Amino acid sequence: MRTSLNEIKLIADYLDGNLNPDDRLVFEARLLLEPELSLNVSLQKQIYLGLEEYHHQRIKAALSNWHDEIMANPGKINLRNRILNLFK
Amino acid sequence: MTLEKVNSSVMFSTADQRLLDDIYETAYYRVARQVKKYGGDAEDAKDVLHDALIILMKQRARQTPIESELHYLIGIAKHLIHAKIRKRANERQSVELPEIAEEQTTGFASQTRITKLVMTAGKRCLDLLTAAFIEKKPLAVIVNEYGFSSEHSASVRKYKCLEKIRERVKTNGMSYEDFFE
Repeated sequence: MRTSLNEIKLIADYLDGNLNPDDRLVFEARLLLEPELSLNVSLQKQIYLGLEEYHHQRIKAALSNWHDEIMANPGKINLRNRILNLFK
Repeated sequence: MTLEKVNSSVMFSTADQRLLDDIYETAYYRVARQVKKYGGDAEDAKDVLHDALIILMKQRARQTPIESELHYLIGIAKHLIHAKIRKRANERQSVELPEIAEEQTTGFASQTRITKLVMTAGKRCLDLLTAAFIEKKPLAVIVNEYGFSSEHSASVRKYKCLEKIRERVKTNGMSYEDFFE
C-alpha cells in the first residue's frame, strides 16, 4: 500500500488497540515528535465519530420503516389506537 | 448525503426483529405515556423509543448481561426524555447563538462540520467504513457482503475511503482555528 494508506492503517490499528506494546510505545513517541501525525490521529477519531452518527441515522431510518410497517399491521390496531388516543 | 437524508440499508437480524416486536407490545405505550407526561408528542415518543432501542441493541451486540431488557429500555427512555426536555429548554434560551452553543459542545474541532463532510463520502464508502470501524465486522464477512475479490482488496478500499474523507476534511473543513484555538 501507499505510504499515506499505511499511515491511515497504522492510526486505525492504534485507535483500535491492535498494536503490540512495542509498536504502541514507538507510535506514541512519534506522536510527541510529529505534530502532523498527532493531527491525523485526532482527525481520524473525529471521522469515526462522524461514521457513528451515520450508523445511528441509518438504524433510525430502518426503525422508522419498521415502525410504519408495524403500525399499519391490522393485528396492531389496538396498540395504534391507544397511542393515537394518548396524543389526541 | 445529509444527516436528514440517510437511507437505511440496515437489515435486522431475526433476534432483533423479535426484540422489536416484544418492545412494541410491552414498552411503546409506557414510553409514550412518559413522553406525554413531559409535554412531548407522538413523534417524540417514537424518537425516544427508537433511540432507547438502538442503545439496547448495541448492548446486545456487545453481549452485555442485562437482567430485564424491558426495565433497561424504560430506564434509558426516561433518561432520554429528560435529556430531550433539557436540550429543548437550552435551545429556547440560546436561540440567538445556536452556532456558538454547538461549537462549545464539540470541543477540539467542529465535530458537526466534520460529520457533514463525512456524509459526503458516498453510500458505498460509508457503509464499508461503518462495517469495518463501527460495527467491527471481520474482514472475511465484509469481503462476502460487499463482493470484494479478496481481504486485501477490501482492506485497501476501506483505507482509501478513509483517505478520501481525510483529504476532503483537510481541504474543505479545517481552518487553522479548528485545531489550534
